[in-house]
Amino acid sequence: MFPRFLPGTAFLSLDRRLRRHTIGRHLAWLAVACAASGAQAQTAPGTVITNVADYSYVLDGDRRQGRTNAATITVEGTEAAASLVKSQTVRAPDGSATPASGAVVTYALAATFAAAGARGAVIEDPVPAGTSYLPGSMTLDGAALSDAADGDAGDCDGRLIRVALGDVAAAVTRTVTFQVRLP
Amino acid sequence: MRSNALITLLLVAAAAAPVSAAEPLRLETRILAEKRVAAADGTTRVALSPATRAGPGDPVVVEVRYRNVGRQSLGGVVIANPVPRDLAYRAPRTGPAPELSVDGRSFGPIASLRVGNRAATLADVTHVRWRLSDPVTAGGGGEFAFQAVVR
Repeated sequence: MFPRFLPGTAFLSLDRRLRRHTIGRHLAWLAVACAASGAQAQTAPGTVITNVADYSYVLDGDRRQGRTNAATITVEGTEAAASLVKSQTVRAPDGSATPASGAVVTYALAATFAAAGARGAVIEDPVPAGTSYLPGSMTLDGAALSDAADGDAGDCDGRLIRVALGDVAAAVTRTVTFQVRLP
Repeated sequence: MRSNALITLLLVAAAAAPVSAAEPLRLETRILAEKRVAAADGTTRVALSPATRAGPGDPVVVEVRYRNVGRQSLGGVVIANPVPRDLAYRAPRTGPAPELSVDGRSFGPIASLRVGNRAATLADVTHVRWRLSDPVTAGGGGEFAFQAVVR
């Protein structure tokens, strides 16, 4: 029964372009879907796209031709500004790692930022359906976060984990953890 | 003497050349990107501005403006814009919808175009073309634009 609680889909959104990063099976599924649809590879970073139009017109009975200027736009790299990796550990009431009823699952969401940093980073993760969030179990880089929407970065209403990391200055990994109990 | 005359003739020809070659129809193309602009009241609106960079998947607008800077009306104006390979055509943006082509030779609405033995899609479009039905009068002009997305 445990696999149906896998995986939660976690989101990491950044201020400028709401890039969403999913993890685990969802990511693999997306990759398969792209391959199946024969989606074209993305334009390589650094590619210069040039637009030029040809024109012609009639003057004094003659058709004359010309060409416009060349407008260009450079394709930016798509290397992720950040990535999010989700992992889990299970601890059953009997002390084993069996996903039995009453077991506690600890999820870890590790957000890794590129050297350029990021602005307005937010991690969101719905509490997996059917599980119960353990109040007060949220941490950020090992420090406890309260569930209330208050002064600290995290809040959880029992259904959605939300941790506002704010502006991230440089290459760094920030890790959020929270726990749920299996029914 | 003779060579001097020849040189004079060449100089006159060189000076005259730009005048005779003056293009009465001026065209300019630009690539624009949509940018969200935050207003003081907290709302955002989408503004178009010339762009130098865009990422794969980003929408862009390709614009062609034309103006008759000559003294005579110009008839039969045709503007043919090959769609850059790394852009995918999406929709008309400004002015009448262009005719579309998937081979640069035959043009028409997308529903009339085929690639091999299948119906063409907008991603297959390789060229767009605008044909002006009315002459462009002296001093007149206008613009066309289409939406595309970076592949």
